[in-house]
Amino acid sequence: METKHQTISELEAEWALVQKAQKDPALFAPLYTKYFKPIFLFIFRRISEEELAGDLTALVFSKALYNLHTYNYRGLPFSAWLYRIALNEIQAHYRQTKKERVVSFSSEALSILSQDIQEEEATQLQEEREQALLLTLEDLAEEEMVYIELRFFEGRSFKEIADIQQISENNAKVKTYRIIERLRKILIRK
Amino acid sequence: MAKYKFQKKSNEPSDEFIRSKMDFNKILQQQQNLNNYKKATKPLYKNKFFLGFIILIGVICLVLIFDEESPQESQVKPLKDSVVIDSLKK
Repeated sequence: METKHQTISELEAEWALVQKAQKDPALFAPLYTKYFKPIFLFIFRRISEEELAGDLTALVFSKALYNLHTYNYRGLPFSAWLYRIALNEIQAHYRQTKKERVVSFSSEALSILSQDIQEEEATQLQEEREQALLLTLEDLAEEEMVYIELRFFEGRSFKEIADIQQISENNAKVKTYRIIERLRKILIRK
Repeated sequence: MAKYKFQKKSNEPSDEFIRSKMDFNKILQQQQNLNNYKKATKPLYKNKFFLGFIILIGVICLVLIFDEESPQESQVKPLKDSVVIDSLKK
């Protein structure tokens, strides 16, 4: 995972940079340099094409710069706003191309998710359980998949998820656990 | 048709590749293009001058309408009086 929790002074320093950039777009460069890689990788994991990820990242930053005058500091990291724009661009890309949405995961992440979902007395082999889980994930809506990706496949904290999704931390926890519960029910039914 | 394509995390692009994709001048140019595009495709009803012109026309129309109505009212009143006087005389 590429982001850490920022302290209030760090957030305020960043807000000062944003305010400068709101007056002069050329001063957006430090924020661009800082967040280019995290945003690029965030998109790449959901697109899986290097060139396209580069193009979409450029689009995210130009849209961010275009709408920078509307950005207001509400105690959230600036990166959360950029991730939000990136998610919207990814969704728009898949709507236009009508391709299958790429979901990248590591074996460890899938194993953790599988353990969280499965009942303790499950007798299936680990590999079988993970295959069944992948089939079950297919039933999730796009919005639900975003929570699973952010929490399990990227290992983000609930605070980060809440910032990106613009909801409270508690709400992020509740939504994630509801999705886990839903996955568990689907898995039992299957 | 499947909604998702699940795949194990492949090797992420190198830092060098990512850096090669960074181009701040391109971002500034794209932002400028977006600005120009939005200006060019701004609907007429969002144009301040157009909106002001429409309001001005509206106000002028209202003034003309009320201006034309007021003399008619003054003509009607004496008529009513004469009718009353006539009826009293009878």
